[in-house]
Amino acid sequence: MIIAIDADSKDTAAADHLLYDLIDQIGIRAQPVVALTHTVSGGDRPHVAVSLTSAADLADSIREVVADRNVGLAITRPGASEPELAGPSRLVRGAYVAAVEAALGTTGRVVRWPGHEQAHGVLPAAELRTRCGIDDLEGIGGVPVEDDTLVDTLDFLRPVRRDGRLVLQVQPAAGDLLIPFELQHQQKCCADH
Amino acid sequence: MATQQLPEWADPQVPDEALDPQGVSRRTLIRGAGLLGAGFTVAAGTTSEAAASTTTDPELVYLVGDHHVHSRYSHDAKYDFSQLAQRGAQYGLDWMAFTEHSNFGHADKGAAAENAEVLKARAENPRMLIFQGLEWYIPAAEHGTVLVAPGPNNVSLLQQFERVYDGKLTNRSADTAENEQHAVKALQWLAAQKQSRYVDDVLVLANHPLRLGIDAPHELRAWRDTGVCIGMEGAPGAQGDADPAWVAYRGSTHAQRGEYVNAPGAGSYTGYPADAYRTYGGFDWATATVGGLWDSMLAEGRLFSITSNSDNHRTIWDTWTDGTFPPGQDFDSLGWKPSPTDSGVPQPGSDYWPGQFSRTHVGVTGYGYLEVMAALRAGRVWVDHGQLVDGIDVRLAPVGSRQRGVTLGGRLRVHRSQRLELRVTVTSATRPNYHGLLPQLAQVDVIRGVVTGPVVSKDSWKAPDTRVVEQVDVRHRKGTYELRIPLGRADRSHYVRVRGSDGRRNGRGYLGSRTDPAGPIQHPDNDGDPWLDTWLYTNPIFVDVVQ
Repeated sequence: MIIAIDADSKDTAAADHLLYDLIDQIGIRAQPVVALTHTVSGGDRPHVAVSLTSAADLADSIREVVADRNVGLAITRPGASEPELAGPSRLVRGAYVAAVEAALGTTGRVVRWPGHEQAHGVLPAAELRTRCGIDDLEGIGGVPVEDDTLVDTLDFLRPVRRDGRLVLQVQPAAGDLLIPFELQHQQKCCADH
Repeated sequence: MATQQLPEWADPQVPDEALDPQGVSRRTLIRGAGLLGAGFTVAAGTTSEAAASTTTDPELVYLVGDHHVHSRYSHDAKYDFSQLAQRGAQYGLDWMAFTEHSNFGHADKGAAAENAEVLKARAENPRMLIFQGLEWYIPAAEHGTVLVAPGPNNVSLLQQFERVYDGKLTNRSADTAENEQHAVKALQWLAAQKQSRYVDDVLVLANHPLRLGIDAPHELRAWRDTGVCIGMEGAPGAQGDADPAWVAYRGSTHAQRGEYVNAPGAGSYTGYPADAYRTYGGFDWATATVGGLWDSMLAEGRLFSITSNSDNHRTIWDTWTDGTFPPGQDFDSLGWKPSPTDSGVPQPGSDYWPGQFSRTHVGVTGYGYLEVMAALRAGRVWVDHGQLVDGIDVRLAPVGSRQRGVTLGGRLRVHRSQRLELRVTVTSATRPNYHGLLPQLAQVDVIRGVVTGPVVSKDSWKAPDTRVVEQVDVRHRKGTYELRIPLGRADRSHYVRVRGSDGRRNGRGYLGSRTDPAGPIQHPDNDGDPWLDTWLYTNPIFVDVVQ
């Protein structure tokens, strides 16, 4: 089942927090779940929606959690060809986009996936791939990634889905290490300088 | 207003002995061109736009400047004007612009109070040109320098502009079509203020364009098309952020030159790759990528300038700390911060002083505010880091021509099949930089791109017909020397630009080694000593081929 929610999160940090909340409150931390963020462009303002994919039926518990929030909801049950939609039309659109992206596996930024719990400390690239279920490590700036290249996870990985594969973008850091391209603390839009 | 004087190095009344080696070197350059003395004076205050020639340009005097500096009239900076102006003078700046962030406090009170400080700084530094500009939060996009010619309406123009057109003050930061349109309206409004002579001149430059990936190619083109936005920062400020010694002292995490540390966000243009969010040899990906975004704009056959500035807020290793607000006051109630005080220990920061590391060189024929602005608009601009060379003059001419040739920003008109040559005159650095190194230029690259006309997609960021066509090793050349680089026959309209580096750090360009075999590359996180990876870039010269 795929549950997509558009709560009009203004950036990925806010969307991450929404996902933490949902996972926390519905107690699915222990169950295999894939949680993604999806950029919703067009419309009145670009923002970020989220999706949760799980074998369990989470529909009722999610509805309960978001009952008092202004969100768009798109619930796709196994075998269904279209999601069930609820909420204000402005946000339903984003939820729908997120539901489709989650179903197709073509795009999206991944916050939770089976294997994320292994993403701690410094690991050789090959071990990071097998332990964490990452399909590809992609070095930006053309940096090569060998099986024994050390990657410092910084305990914060946000791989992206690309054509059904889970790709983690990495960048070089001091000390002959690679670190994730996306770091936990990002400058805001309208940042200083 | 105090009587404007020439910079010491350009003033024949100042004896050679009173100058440092760089000053002597710069003076020798203009003396050689016959411009020291009567040939180069303080301009009368009115200027005509640089006359466009199609065969040759006059001898130019290159002034060193910085159009992006913050003082304590910005909420996130701390220095007094006099500190910044003195530092700018120390590091060899001839002109600088204070560009405070838009804020309600600034619009209400700061801008006017700041003007008194600017007048005082001008009086204290009569040899410098000191602009009062603004750093605009461009609606739906990054920041931009608004540069205004001094005059009675300088301040009121800025105040009106920030209240009506600033993205932060008008809550128009979000990346929507309507907000993007508001940015264009803002630039059109500025154009109208110049047209009506409310101010003598005004222009805009896009700052740190790829820092957040929120300046889409179509936005940059739309701004350019207003005629007011004439270019962008080729390199951002904040170049000290990843200096290893500073990283170690500060215990920084994830420092990058220019503070380019981001991943795409909700407002980012999705057509940019992850690599676009980092700097290359300290330069923004838009400029550093041969065949990339900047080249795709030049390949349209239209000028778009680059600059390089300190963006000074807080200088690394400096010990001054923010002034303390009186009880009950804050930035927006006062419009400024109180003066800083010296704490005696290094304070947080990521910047260099104005002129210390990043420089924008502008070629003029007279000394004055309007001359600097006209030269920026004419594209007579080259930029460098780490004070890499004392001077560079680039001319493009038919082989054998006795004329000097067309220079940066200009257009050379030639017949098809005419043979062309590039004449590059380099004046090596004569003064150790502020890392204790005497800079030595090692590599000069010539980059050529075919002019293919207006783009089909306004979001195009590739120029497939642009590449490095010549690489010249100059690591053993000293003093002033000329390179004559034959460029073959002109068969199509094209442009040529020059890049140079200290040769310490390079690799395959972002679009491949066939396009750029030894270009600037990213640095590892937390390990980017800017002084050991310095580059210069010139603006292009266009060649219009006629039958």
